[in-house]
Amino acid sequence: MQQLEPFPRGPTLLAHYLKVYTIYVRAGWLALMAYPVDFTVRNLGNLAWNLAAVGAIWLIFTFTGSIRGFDRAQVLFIYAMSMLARSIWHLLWVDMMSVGGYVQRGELDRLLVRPLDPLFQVVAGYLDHDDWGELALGLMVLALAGRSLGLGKQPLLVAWTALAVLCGSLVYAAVHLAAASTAFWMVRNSAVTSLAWDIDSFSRYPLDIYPAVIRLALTWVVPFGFAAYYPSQLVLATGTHRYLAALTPVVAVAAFAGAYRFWQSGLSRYQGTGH
Amino acid sequence: MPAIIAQEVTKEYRIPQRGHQLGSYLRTLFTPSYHTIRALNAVSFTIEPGETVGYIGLNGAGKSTTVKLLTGILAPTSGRVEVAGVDPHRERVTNARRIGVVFGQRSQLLWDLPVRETFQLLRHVYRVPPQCYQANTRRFFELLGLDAIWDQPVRLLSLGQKMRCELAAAFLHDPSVVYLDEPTIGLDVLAKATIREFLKQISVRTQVTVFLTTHDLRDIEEVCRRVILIHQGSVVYDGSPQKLVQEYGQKARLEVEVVGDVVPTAPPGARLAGRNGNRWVFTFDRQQVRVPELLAALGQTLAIRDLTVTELDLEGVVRRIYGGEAL
Amino acid sequence: MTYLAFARVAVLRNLTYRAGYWMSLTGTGSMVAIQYCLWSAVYSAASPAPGGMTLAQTLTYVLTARAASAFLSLDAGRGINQRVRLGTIATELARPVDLQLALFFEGLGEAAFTLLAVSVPVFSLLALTGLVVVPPPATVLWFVASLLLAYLVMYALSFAVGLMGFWTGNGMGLTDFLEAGVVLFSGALVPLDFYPASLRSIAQVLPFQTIYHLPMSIFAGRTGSLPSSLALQAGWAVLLILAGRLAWHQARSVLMVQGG
Repeated sequence: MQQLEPFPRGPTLLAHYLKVYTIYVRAGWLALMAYPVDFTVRNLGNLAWNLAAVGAIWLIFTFTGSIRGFDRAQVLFIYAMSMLARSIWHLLWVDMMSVGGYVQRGELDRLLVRPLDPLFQVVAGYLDHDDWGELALGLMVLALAGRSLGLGKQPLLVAWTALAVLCGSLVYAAVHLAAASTAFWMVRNSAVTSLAWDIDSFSRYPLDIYPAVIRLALTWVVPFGFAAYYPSQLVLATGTHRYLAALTPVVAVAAFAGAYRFWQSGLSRYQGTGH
Repeated sequence: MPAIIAQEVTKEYRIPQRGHQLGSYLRTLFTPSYHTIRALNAVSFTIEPGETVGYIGLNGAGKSTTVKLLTGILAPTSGRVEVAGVDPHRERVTNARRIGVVFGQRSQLLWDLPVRETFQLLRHVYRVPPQCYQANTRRFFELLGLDAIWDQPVRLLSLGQKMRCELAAAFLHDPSVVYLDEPTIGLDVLAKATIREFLKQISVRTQVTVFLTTHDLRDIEEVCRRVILIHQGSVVYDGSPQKLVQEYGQKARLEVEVVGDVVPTAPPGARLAGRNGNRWVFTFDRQQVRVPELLAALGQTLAIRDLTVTELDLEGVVRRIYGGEAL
Repeated sequence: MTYLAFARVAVLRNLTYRAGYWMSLTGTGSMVAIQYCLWSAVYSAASPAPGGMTLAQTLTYVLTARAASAFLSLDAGRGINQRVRLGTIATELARPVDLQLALFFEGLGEAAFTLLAVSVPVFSLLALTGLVVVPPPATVLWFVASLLLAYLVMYALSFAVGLMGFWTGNGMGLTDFLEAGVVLFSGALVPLDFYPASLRSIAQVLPFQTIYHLPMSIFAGRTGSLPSSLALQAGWAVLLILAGRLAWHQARSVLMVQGG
């Protein structure tokens, strides 16, 4: 029998995954560049759409000074954090929403015969093509709103914002992974995935505008509150919920770990070992 | 150590039962009821390294379930599966490194990119050493003609070209076992021939074990030295394809339309199998009797208006083995 | 009538394609909730009636607009985009069928479905809970007529822009641009009454305002002359339908030259 080089474990395994991930991303990027005109036009369209949505907020502040104590720069800062968190998740990991499709078409089997984690293959196998406008606009609005909030002189807060955006992406990933994993129990789970997709808009505004029951749900059930609003409270002068804000990384990791457990139990049900 | 061991392997699926009326649908949401389908029933076989085994059966006989159990996609309900010394389900990743798989209906090629990009990706996924990668791709260029399409986007390839790529992709990392699930499905005669030739070459040149499921008896005849037949979840034949074909595959079927309402008697070497409208159906063994002889014998008592001769296909063979003469 | 067959197929496809239904239901539902919370919050701080609109009027306008948004979609344009992408547009144009009319009826099937299965239930809920103030029956009738005209404008616009993809080779981004235009200038998210005077004067010369602003203003009781609003809508509808037909004829003649 052919002698194989021993398969990596521990840190080497992580390095192996990182290496393979770069190869996947390269392939994804090459696939996007196979249709350059399509790529450009769609992303300009996406940019225009997001510009319109930001414009709507700007308009509201032409006749009001604040919404529940948040001024224009603060609301736009939260909105931009949410845009960034969402677009990073969307660009890199959005294909996790199609787990249901993988299961129905039997494509999951193809992933299970490779020596890689199947979820890794789902998310690495697809680089999104039309949400780069949201990423660009999010960065721009965040920079502008951050500057008028005086963030430029506080590198620690800038670093926190960057970390918070990544945590926010993880929150997005956790919610969508949990929603997508219902595919292992129900053949058509589009009601669940589309609900997750649509309620992410709740993460874009200060939670203070919602009634208590929605606020609680966005904090403890579907933690979209941690995608932008709570972590922003360490940066903004409004500064409520500072303890919850500091917990953002913990909540993000815990939520993703929980969602991953749910995915795993679904997967073992699929493979016929669990119920 | 055998390449594949299946010992008393049984696989059952639990299918949830849902009512179609609202009331019963809601009830089953809370108290789900299942009925069990047994896809495989105490299947046992052992395959040695280097063997090329054909695995055939009707649709729904349990072929794909077997492949899924051997590749580690599914866990057996009971029994033991071992591939190169490991449990393929429990040690999925270890097993996955040593196997190659082609699902005839599902592609693992990168759709929008040139063929070589898929191989670059797989090279890193399986950690194929550079010299090994060089040697193997050179072999694929030679045996499968991949050099001609190496830089073409997959979406522009024909079905046959794609299947050649799939096949090469499955063999890239020198797996010890390769599973081919319907690799020739939908291909034309020429493409099938290329694939069979490749499998023959590879089984001569390397020690790889090949497990092949197919609908096409010719695949088995040309490539496999052993064939396992499965029917309704059980193994019904395990032996050389020559013997299988000698016993059953040479059977052919003659239909004659005659003038008048005479009940014919079967000529020597043939059996009267039944009646299809106004046509009488005979089966016969091509090695024992030839069509002109049959016609001559039949012509003595009957006025033949029209006739057709058909070979028994795989389905016919399986039916004959399992359910007797069902044609 | 043969064109009704297109509508029937679309309805059937909607019934089997449940994912799309859930998408528009959950999307509409959550947007209504967010808009309600947002505008209540805005009014709690703003002067009693910014732009001359009371909270009740604004909510009636904005929430009805959200409920109707599933119905007022750009599907016709997306349908053409898909045909351009798959390369079937040439055959579609060559067929002896009026593409504009065929797609209209195909879209009508889908629109009727979303109207009855998404917009009406969401709207009824809003009306029953009193979040939306329902005007007198006569106004409701004017509103319904205005909404249908809005659909016509949206369709004609979507068709004309979608067909531009025939020349650019890809229409997806164009339809996204169009959608951005709608969001900015139709008053779909923010009533035009709140716009600064300069932006409002731009919006008033564009067709987008006839899609959301005019019907929603009628419903919220904020329109002076109902007939002139409807006349404006009808005018834009006719103009855009003619533009779409012109584009269609141009595309056909290009195809004839190419010998497609």
